[in-house]
Amino acid sequence: MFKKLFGALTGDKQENQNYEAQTSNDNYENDYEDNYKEVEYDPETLHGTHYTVEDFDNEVEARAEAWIADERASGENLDEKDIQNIYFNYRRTVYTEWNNCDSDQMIRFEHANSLKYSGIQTSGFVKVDDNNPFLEPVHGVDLRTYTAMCLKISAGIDYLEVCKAMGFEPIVWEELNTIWPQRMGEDTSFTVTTLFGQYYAENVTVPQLENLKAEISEEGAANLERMKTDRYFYEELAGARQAAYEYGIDGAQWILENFGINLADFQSVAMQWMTEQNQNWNSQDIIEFSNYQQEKQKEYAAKFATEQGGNIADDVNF
Amino acid sequence: MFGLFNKSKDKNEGSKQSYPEWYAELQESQQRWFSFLEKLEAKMEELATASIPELKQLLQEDEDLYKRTFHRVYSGVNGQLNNIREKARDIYEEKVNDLYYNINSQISVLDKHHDLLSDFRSACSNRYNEFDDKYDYWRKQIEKTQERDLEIEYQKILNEFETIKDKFSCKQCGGNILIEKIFLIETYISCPYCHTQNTFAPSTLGRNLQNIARELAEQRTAHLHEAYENEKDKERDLYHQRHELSLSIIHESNKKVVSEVQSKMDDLEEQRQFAIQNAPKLREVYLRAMYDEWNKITPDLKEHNEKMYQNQLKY
Amino acid sequence: MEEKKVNSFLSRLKENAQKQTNYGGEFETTEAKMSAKDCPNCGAGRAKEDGVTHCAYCGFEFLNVKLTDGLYIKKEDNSI
Repeated sequence: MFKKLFGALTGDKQENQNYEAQTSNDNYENDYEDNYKEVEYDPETLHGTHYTVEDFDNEVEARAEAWIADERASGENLDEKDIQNIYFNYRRTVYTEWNNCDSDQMIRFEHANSLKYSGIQTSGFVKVDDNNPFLEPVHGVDLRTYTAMCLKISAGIDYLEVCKAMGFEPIVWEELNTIWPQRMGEDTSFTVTTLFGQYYAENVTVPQLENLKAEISEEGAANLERMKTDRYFYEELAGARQAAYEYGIDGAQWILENFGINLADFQSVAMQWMTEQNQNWNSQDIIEFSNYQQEKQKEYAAKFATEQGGNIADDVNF
Repeated sequence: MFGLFNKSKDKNEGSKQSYPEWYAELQESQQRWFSFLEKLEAKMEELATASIPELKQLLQEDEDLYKRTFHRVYSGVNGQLNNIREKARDIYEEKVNDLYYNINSQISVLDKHHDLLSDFRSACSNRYNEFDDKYDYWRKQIEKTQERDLEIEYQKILNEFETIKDKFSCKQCGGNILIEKIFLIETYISCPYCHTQNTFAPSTLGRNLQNIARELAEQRTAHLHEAYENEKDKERDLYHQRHELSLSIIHESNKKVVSEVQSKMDDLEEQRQFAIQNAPKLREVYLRAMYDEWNKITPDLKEHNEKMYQNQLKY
Repeated sequence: MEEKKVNSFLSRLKENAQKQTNYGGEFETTEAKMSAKDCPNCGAGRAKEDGVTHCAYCGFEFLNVKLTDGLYIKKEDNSI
């Protein structure tokens, strides 16, 4: 194992791997599992601790620049995007080689470093930088508080009530609700948008708004709790909601009427699962949940179709 | 429709008896697949032609600011269209692909009848593509029902503003307050006489200006957007034309012909390079014009919009 | 026969769409309007001279926020 990693660092990794792949095809899985566990990752950057970030960046740069020089020498016209792609691909290659990891680990690494390498934030990994002008409060209201207000309003509480609880006139809310979305649009790193989503997923609140509670039935509260803890239940509702739209039914209203969950709570839980998925990227789970959602969507679609007297192409057969 | 099988027959030198026993099943499946798609296509057409006028009318009649009734029906119509498409996809998997793989696993690629099998699959998949093109066509036609002439909406907003702008007075002293422009959201306006801070709240109609502004600007500059899109598509077109030519001379030994084709190819390449350079310029022309229109419609958003413009130029 | 299926589907779809409750309830359309807030503490009108956050006469707090540059409200609108 150590020899292998050492090999990777000194550059003769490729040969080693080929040799191993030939001789130990049968227990390749096990071999791979063992290696996987042995690499220690920095919890922040998800880089392996057996090399420095600088070495990694240098290696990527060296390989990418060599390739770029080669392309240019053969007359290719490379634009900014091509160059970014070349770097992106080498980052993947070097990371996978040096850490001997699977693609899920590689994606987790990309998520953890997306701001550094691609200038774009990923939900679940945003760190608040106090000097970011996009995050300066608007009329004294920071993004967290703005999100808390949005949550209350989409939960069905009248915005006038929310303003009153905050202690300001509606005019201020209208300004907030103009400037914050503008900043989301202007910020190409998507920090504002992603952070808004993170706060939304946390269902943040502020002391001023704590007493404002959207009405929720006992059944609704139980469903909401289940949706937060049972991913399958969440997928079922997401599938049902989608099916509703396909049959001309407002999915948000349908969920409220049938499960007692309002749009704000629903979106918040959706964001929560998405963030969780980004942080613990596992392609097998993702496929499983996505299949489950599709299956449920089909089931609900069949139900809605029956209620509407069938689909128009039901009588067409092979 | 069955020209394909005739062709295969020729290959078999007219000996009908020599067909493998699975051939009849292929023939039948292909025939069923073709007529199944034909029936689905008829359904799509029927659905679209019946719903398009209905949708247009609904959009006109929907009093709701967000046109929510229209959107529900629109979404339901698209749902049926999707349902038809999914039906085709499922049956393709089940009746075409499965049959193909099933037989494929039984015979060798070198089998003299293997081309019957590949012909079956390519005929079915070509027919499937044709179906998909029709689906795309109808989906776009239905999509168009969402479009409305925003100049009409805009005019309504302007007219309303003209009638209300001098109708307000100060709540404190009763002095006349002239509304100087279309405000997008609530604002404080101070009385020119007693300096009291009044709060002006625009009407629902006036507030909607912010929502339609971009789309209206896009409608006004659609011709420039199209010019850009056309230029962008040229690159692929010219590439394919050149590629076709290059294939045509692979076996050509006449040097004169080769050099003629070569010069045509060079010409195409030159045009292609020009299109590659020109497309981003046309994009910039379009974006600048669109943002200029947008700024004219909502000058209060100019500062923000210009930042958006700069961002869009970069990406 | 065929024709009927599509048409009956469409009319049912339309009917259902029309009778559904909109999420968040009906949207009220409103006319443009002007209003002014008197100070709840001293009854004076809200004067321009001293910004919009406090009453120019008794110092009552109209708005408990520190205004920055927004769309129409600017930092100058803070009371001194």
